[in-house]
Amino acid sequence: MRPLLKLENVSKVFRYGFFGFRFRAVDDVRIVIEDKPMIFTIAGESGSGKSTLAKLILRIYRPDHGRILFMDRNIYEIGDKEFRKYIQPVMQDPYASFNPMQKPIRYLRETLVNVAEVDDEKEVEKIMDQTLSYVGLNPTEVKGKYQHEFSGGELQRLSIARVLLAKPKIVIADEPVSMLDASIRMNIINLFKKIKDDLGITFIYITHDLATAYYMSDEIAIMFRGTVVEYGRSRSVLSHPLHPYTQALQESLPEPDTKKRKRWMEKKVRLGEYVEEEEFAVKGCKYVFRCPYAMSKCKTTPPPYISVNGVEVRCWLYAEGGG
Amino acid sequence: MSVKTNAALKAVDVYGEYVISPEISIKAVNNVSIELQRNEIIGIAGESGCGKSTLIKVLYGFMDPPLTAKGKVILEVANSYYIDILSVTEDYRRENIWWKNVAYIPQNSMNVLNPFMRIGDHFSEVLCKHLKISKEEAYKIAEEYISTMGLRKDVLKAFPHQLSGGMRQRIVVALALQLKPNIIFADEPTTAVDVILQKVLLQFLTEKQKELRNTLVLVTHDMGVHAMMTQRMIVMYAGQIIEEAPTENLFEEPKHPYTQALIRSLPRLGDESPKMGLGGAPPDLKNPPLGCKFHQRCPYAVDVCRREEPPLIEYEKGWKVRCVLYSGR
Repeated sequence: MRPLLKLENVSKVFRYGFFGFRFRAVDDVRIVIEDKPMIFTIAGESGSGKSTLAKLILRIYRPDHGRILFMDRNIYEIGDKEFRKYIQPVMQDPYASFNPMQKPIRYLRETLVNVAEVDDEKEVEKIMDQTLSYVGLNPTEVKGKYQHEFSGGELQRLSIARVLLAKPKIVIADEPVSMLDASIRMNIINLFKKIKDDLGITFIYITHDLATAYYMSDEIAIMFRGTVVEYGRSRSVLSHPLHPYTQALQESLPEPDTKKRKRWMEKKVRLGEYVEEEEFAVKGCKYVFRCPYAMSKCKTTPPPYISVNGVEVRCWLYAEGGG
Repeated sequence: MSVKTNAALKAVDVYGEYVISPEISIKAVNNVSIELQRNEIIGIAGESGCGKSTLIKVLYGFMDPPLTAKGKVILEVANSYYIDILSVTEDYRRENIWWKNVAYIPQNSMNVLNPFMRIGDHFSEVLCKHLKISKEEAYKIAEEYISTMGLRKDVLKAFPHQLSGGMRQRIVVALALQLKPNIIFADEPTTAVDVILQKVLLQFLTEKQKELRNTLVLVTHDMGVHAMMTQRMIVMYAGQIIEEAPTENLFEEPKHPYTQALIRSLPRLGDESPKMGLGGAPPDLKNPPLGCKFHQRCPYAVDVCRREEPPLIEYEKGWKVRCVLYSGR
């Protein structure tokens, strides 16, 4: 089957400072997203390159190496207008997503006219009302209001409604609930799941929250310092992590369950001596400075993508004959 | 006013209000009474804007202009010598209370160090002021102290930008603890750090609390952190305490409808059951609703909830809840 989105050895190098120091924000990422409705999570800590990866897929940044293929076509060979029909973003900060001087509804109307190319005025209003009700908003109320009159949750629903109007194949959601209150986060996440099931849209969901990722996603990629260290079905990656980094993440996650406290407290984490810049610069595995299983070849040779029970993991521990 | 022997701090009917203009004021903390016991880790939970940070500021006695406070915060300064933090002057607090008795770890703690000062100067500044000693002596004390905290001595010579975020956060914790305060307020100490570093910091805090046997007040919205760290919890909503309970009980069978919804909505690893969030949004604290602050979102709301504000009822010993559902007992 032809994959929906394929990232082939994608790298992005940023330069900074007077001498043009370089660091690889995204380093040799290979991901295949199959053409079926699902939620694909890209998880990682701040500075892992997950947002840069999202921007690469959205064509905000151009990759320095590698290609991004949408239905076997390089995304840079697709026209602007067509591209926007396929891939749409939901941003992190709902308050900054809309122009405060205009009514948000105008933005929605423009999307419908320009991207979805609906000309008939009655048709525009009809589709808009349907979509707004679908995301759980009252169309007549929305139309009279400015951005500051909405709550964060409502604005995020509006962003989602705007995305749906374009009828995309892929929606990229970059930390869409991190600015919202805990009690309403789940509503937005459930809305994503519902859209996936009803409309067959594939979501690329970017987050640092592993518990939410487990709850909502079908597949997950764990990123560390620009590389994907492990990816596969989220159940197996998060329940039985293979890569030492994923294992450390899973063990340090504080869970809302007091029964797990004793284990969490007793298990100490080793935070090795490391400097962030060194981690980005190292030739081999980026996790080598902190890894309890580090070998000599980890520092010099980057581990390949190794398939273990359907999960792709980049660690020499799982190499044939190695370990 | 007397304080029970085991209480490190007692707050009675505390109000915190941001007065923006004569007409507009935000009532961020409303009629809060709590007691902090010695040698315990107590958590304050709630969503953003529920008043948990303001409460901490009032308890610490740090009121920046728009914030005004009412009520009594009684603290034992020396053996059976009690003062009300809110009635003394700021100079007095600076001289006698802050750092020595009560310490504060602010939000974003990795960015609070002065970028023009070496780490050692941060330590010696506090030591010189409070112990009335020279800078050289202070440096010696700081050197010894920092190695007991499990940090290398040469960090004292470094500038903040030369250290990693995690190191800086540990230094801020070490700074707060250096005069062995009785109470530490930690306001979201681990937001904006990754989970591995978060665990290192939280374990560091717990270890130090066990050593000093003092009170650690942990303010965070992350219920996972509460479950792993705290012994007792306070849940706040719209400026009020709505539930106060031992942490285990709170997670096992929360009583207040808001706490119930909050805990039920939390995703966990290995749990695939569907989760539901709450509808609506927290009330506007500029003009809070009549009656129970939660009634607009509450599935069990009855008529009386819209009219009268429920009192904080003692459900069991050490378990208080602000809801009419439990008043008939």
